[in-house]
Amino acid sequence: MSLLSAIDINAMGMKAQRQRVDVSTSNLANARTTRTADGGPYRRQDVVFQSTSFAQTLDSEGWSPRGVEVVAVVDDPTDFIDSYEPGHPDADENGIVLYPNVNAMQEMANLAGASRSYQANISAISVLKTMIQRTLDLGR
Amino acid sequence: MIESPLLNFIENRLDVSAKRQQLISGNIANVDTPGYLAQDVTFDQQMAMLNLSGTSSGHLGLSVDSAGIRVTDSSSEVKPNGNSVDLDRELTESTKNGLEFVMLMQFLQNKLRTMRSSITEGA
Repeated sequence: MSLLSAIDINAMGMKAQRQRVDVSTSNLANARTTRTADGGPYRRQDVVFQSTSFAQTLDSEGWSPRGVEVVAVVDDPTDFIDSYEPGHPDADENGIVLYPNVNAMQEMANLAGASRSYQANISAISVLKTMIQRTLDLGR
Repeated sequence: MIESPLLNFIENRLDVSAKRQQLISGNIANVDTPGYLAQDVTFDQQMAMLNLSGTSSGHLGLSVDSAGIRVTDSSSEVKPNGNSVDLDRELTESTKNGLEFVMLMQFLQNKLRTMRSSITEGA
């Protein structure tokens, strides 16, 4: 049923936005992490969204609603933030400590955007729910 | 009465409405996808699908061929990341389309109720 698959599309949207929130909160949590398994400070990460074809719903030519997926989580290549802290255990010989390239403002804006998009998907699902409910009531 | 063209019309309209809701869902899901262009069916395209051969040449027919409706990438404002989804518009259209669907369902329900009462009360 096409209305049920439309809910799946919005569910994909919600999942993608939640992954975006996961990555963003991870960035915030590690904003001051100077040691990682790979050595060096934590590097900020970002998600890559890509629209995907939604195979089950391609019934006739032209109707191609697109789902969405996080296809990759990529490292942010920008420079680390250096700070002069000679007393820090991870400081180099000049007393410079490299901190992650995480910008708290950027992450907060990202979180707010993801939250709004998540809500939009929920709104769409509630409309679909009404439509399906009315269809089910038809036989009464 | 059961073979009423009106019922077919409602059925087709419901089909179009349900499919359109899918497109809107896809647009909302892709609100942050770079390069994604919003898709929709325009009213003109829907009208063009109306069968114009009624009982009189001046009448609009009551059949809508949903298979003939094409999806177009709406050419609204494109954001710097190449995405053209207008979230406000999509949410409004979602509500409007949902109401249209409910309205058609109500209409169909009334129609069926009339038919049912003809069947049960007539004897």
